Amino acid sequence: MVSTLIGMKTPHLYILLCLWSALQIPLQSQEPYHAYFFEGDEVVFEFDIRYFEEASRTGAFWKTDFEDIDVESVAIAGDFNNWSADEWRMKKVGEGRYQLRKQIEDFEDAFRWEFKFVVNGKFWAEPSETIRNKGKTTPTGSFWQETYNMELYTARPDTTADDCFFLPGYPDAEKVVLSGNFNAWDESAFTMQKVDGGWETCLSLDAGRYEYKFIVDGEWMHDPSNPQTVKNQYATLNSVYEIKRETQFRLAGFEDAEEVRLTGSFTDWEDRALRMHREGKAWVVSLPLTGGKHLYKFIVDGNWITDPANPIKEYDWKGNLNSVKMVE
Amino acid sequence: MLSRLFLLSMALAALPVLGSASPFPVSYPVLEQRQVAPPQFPNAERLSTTTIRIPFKLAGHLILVQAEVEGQSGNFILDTGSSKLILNARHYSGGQSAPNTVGMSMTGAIKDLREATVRDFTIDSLQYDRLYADVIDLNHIERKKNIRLLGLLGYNVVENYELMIDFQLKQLTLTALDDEGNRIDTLAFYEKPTDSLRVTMDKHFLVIKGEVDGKALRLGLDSGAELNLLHNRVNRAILDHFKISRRTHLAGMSGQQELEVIAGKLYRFRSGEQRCSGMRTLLTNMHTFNRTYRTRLDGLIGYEFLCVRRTLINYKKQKLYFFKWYQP
Repeated sequence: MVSTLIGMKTPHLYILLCLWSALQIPLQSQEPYHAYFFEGDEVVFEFDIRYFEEASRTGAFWKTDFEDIDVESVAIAGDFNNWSADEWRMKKVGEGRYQLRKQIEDFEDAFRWEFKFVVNGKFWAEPSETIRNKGKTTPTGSFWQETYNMELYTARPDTTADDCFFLPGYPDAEKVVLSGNFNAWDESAFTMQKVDGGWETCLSLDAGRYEYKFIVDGEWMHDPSNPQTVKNQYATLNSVYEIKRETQFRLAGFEDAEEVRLTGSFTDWEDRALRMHREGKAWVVSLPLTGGKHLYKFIVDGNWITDPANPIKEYDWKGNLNSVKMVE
Repeated sequence: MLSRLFLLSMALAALPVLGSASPFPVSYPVLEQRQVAPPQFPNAERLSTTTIRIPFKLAGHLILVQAEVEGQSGNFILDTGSSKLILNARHYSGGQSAPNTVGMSMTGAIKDLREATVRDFTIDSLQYDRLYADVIDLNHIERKKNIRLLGLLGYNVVENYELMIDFQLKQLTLTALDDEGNRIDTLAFYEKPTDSLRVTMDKHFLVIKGEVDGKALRLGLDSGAELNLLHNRVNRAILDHFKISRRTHLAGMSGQQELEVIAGKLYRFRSGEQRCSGMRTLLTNMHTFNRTYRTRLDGLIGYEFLCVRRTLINYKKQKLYFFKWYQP
């Protein structure tokens, strides 16, 4: 981080930066700059001119030094807005700093998004060496050969979230990072916090099956306290974490039934597992289910029936008809 | 054979501002051609000897399934815009695999063994026909999506089957057809389609004939197109319903030549009862595309069309069927 500052050539900028440093602005933090952070239900994009040295300009071969650009406006363009150069204008929040807040729901994708900052509607800011979350653009034309996009991962660290990753021990480690398919295996995005007895990070994630590893001072390791693992392409182990969503099943009517049960692919079709209870005019039961497709049936006093309220049904390989529920 | 990969790479490469995307058909060299046993789908659900259901995930807007070809199992993209099965040269380098040994697995004995172990899920009829495959370096897609990609499942993998692309249940269904194009397995689908469209074929592209404001439009359906493409020479009245969100000049392959690409949304496209409004679309000159593939298409539609539908494709009958999308 510091080397970036020294690397800048213009004296007045350097003085300005020293002044900023004195004011203990976020640059002081050891956290790598990611160009975005999460706050509550919002993702906050932040452009900070100090992290950018060069910009590409459509149609021009040479990159332009940022110090030669008089910043008038900054917008954010990416996969999420069709790379529009002016739709997502950012608000100036300080000298050389611009922000834009968006609802996290606007980014419904388990995979990464790519984006860039556009200055004055035509200069595409190139992330500098110090910025980690960047991916090389695919070079099919020589113009963009050496350019990078910023990357946004929709999983977000959130101290109030329920899905916490904990690595016990390692009191002497300097840095522990959580990396997984929720952040495209980024090696620095999710730095874990040192807590009592170990290291922790909580994420806000959708229901689904995730693979992850810890990076302890640069060494990759799977989660020693999680027996669920899967072999990866490097012939080592990834830890597996499944996030389930509380899902309600409801069967209206059948008020004279003595006993109603739920059975399905999630209980291996065990017929005694889930007893439903009467609530108002329906039989209901709730249970946590992993993301994806689930098959189920109700058993009303011993008779297996599909869900009359759910039109989506499928036959199985034995020719049985089952109801289908998708958990997202 | 000229590869059609440019579309996929175009979509993968975000948008043209970032240069990777080029509406020129980028011809990735075919490094090798071979005949292989048809893909198998290790995590599919086998319904019968003629039907399987394959769960899919999305990588951005691309449909990602787990498949096995020549003993290697991993990610494949469903890309009906590719005429053939494409194998990634990074993982299928010449001469290392022994296709003949794969051929062995097509003997009756092995097949029976597979049946005995059940839940091994190739459509039996698929076992017997070997497929032509092109070996091409797909590293640009791997880098873009940060995934290990073994290949693309092109048209020749699915042409003899009914293919259901169900975005509600996030699954593909492949079911075998008789000589007339009728489904052999009567239990493949419980639900009945609520609408259908007659389509035609133009080379390996399935063509949907529709209209915008009374003016005819021939659009190819391509599951590998992350964004729609519209020929800028279509009837002026159609372009009146194209709302531009961004206009940019893009350096062509030589780095000097500039090409205009316009991103926006196409409104009021309809074909039969199927209406699409506000599909994100790139407007560009498709002359080179049509010349390369010897097609006469006004555009291509892919994810934008499919992602809100449950679409059943019958190539033999040249018909599309649509199932109802149920709100939970």
